[in-house]
Amino acid sequence: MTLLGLTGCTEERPDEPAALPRLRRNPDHELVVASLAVEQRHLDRVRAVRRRHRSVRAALAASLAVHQAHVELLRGAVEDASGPEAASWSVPGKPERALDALAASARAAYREQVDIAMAAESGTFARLATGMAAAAAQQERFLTDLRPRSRGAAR
Amino acid sequence: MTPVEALQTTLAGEHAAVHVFATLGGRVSASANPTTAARLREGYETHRARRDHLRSWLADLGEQPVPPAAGYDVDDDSRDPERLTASARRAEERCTAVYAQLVASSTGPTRRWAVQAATDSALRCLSLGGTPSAYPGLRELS
Repeated sequence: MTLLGLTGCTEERPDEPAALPRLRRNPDHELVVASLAVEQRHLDRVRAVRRRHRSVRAALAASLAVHQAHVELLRGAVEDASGPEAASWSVPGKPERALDALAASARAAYREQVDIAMAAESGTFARLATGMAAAAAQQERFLTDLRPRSRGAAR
Repeated sequence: MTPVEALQTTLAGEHAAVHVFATLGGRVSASANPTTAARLREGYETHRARRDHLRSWLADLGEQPVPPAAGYDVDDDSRDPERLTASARRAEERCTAVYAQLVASSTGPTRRWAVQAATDSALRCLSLGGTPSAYPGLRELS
């Protein structure tokens, strides 16, 4: 499935000049790129925490899968996914602090995806961004609930 | 789907959810299973408030709000807390999908309300024993 269909691209009409297609690009293209950047940034953080803290690696496998799925779907929809370099993010040294930081990152991802859903011209893309926002909210809850168990396991 | 059609579909979903949560809540013993009872009660109150809000909203738009159906299927007549919770979760998952569809069919404040409702519904699915999903409310991607 490609997101081009999801985001409401229109077919070319034969009576329009050949130069116009560049102007008639997907109106939500920038939002799709922004959405990809949000998901990629959070995915990178999940990966970094899993690398640094072996004690939470298994518990974060599902989080990894969620955001990997988002990144793959969005990446399939944009020709040029290059954007600004993500700001560096250092993984806290204690597992419970790292989970707190990831939960905060999921919260930020939720807010950004909501803003993207609100700005989307295409209802279909707004629905997709809402699904990703809701997934980020679930991840925040999951990470928050995971913290006490991880603290116990780390002792 | 027009915005009004989407609101009517959402209202129909909330009529169903109110019925399901009321029925399930009536089957659980608050003294024997206080956590389950509280979760079902909270879900019932949320859906009832949303149903009333949607009804008022449609009436304010000059539309006739859809009435509840004559009856709804509530999976089985179990009194087992786990099965009751699972039934409630399925109803909540249907609500998440309905609100995601309302997002697609609306703009501005209606869309924002629908985004918040979809998120709240996705979180209630976790409270009802569900696991995090990659695409809450988007069945075709799950």
